[in-house]
Amino acid sequence: MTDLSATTWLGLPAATVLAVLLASVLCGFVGTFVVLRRLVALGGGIAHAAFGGIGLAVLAGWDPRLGAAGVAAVAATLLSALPRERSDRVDAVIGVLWAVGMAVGMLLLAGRSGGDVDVEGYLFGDISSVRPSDLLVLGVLVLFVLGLHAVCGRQLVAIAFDPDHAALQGVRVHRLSWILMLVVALSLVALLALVGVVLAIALLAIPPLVGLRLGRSLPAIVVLATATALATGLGGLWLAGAFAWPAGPTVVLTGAALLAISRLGRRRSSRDAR
Amino acid sequence: MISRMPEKELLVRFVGAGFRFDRDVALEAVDLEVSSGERLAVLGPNGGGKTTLLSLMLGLRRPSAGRVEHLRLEPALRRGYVPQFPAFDRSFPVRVEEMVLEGRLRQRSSWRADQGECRAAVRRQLERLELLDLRRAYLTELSGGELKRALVARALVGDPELLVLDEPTASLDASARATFWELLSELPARTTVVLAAHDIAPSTFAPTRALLVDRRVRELGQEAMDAHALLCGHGRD
Repeated sequence: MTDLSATTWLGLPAATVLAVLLASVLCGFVGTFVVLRRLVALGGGIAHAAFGGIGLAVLAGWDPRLGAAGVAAVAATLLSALPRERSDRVDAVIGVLWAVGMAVGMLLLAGRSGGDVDVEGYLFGDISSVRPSDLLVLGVLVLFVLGLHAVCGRQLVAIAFDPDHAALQGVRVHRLSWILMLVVALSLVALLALVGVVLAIALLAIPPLVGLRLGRSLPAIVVLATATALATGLGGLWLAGAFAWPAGPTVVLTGAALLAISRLGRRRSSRDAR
Repeated sequence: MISRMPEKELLVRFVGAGFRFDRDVALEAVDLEVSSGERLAVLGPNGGGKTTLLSLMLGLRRPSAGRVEHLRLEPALRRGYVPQFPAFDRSFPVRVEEMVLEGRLRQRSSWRADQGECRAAVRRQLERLELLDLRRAYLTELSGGELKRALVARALVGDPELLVLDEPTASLDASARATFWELLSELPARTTVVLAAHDIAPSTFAPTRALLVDRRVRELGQEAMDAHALLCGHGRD
């Protein structure tokens, strides 16, 4: 069997390339729903709350990803349970989650950096040291997301577009929204391994924004977002290696540059074509 | 031979139902029954609670007091809704024909669904509402009136048994209004139509009952309905 840690593809460790490939599928599928449902700020809140989970897990001697996933899932559940009449409070709840998560994480991890715990790695990611278990987590999540789209893709689009109408059509809006929120939370946790809590949400937001700019139909947007995420990941890592820059920030700024370039052109109306 | 009227089926029952937004009471103490085949006019001032009443009737909101019972569960009641203000984001990447097809989501979700028949039904509605040329357009490219027609098409494409229309003719031009009233008159007798609009008149929509909604719901008698028809005489052709 090929040893991924010793193999290089495109001048990068094979495990890293594989991680970027899997993360790109998440960015394309999950990220597009995050942007279309306007969940970017909420995702940022969940990612930062997850930092508190990392602190708790380290304190308890567990795998930090387990703590991050647990807290992210609880935060996603709480946010999706907010009644519709209280939706105006969502931004405040996100702000509280964001700050409290970071505060708990920093308090619990204070003084641990430099020892057995890589605090910077959790904050900004360490894509160059992708472990087989990171790949397994990403792989399982990608399979789940693709399966979810295959089984209830129409319903997911319906609740993203018009939840009231979806409810009239018999879609279990609350349940499916909760599943979608859990997927967003777990995707963020999987991305933490690559770019850390501070930058993870950028990978779910930037590629779909490029997709929305360049594509018109939903399938085209998802494909373009996935391709953009791949170009962002591989391009960013290549730049980071070539100029000895930190990988996470370079990846995010590569995505930002692609977003800026995508906004240079003018969109064509499909009415113009008739 | 004596033809028998189809038996009426009770669809929705309000029992002392109320709804409040924080401290603001939108509706209170509503007792109301809606049955199959009714043509219900919902009248009342702006802010009186008409839209909230319709949302409760459709099951989109839960009452904060009392209860609203939806009595037909199996097979699920086919519901069509034209909201006064669509809650969705018009920049969502969906074409007109795809949005109208969402009106058949329930039928399409079944593995036995005839997808071709669903698409044919969408085409019929688009043709009827003069939207066929715009079927590939995105929602951002539509005018307010065109979007309203698309919403009407989406509500009708699923052959609704309960059709709820909240100011459906607002932003429609005269020709589109005429088409809309014609479409309503062609609906099967068993379809329940609940209509909130300011231009209800005998020539456009003949309700079997009329409700006046102003925080409380009061049923109007025939005389009051006639008086209302006179007051909004612009609905008469």
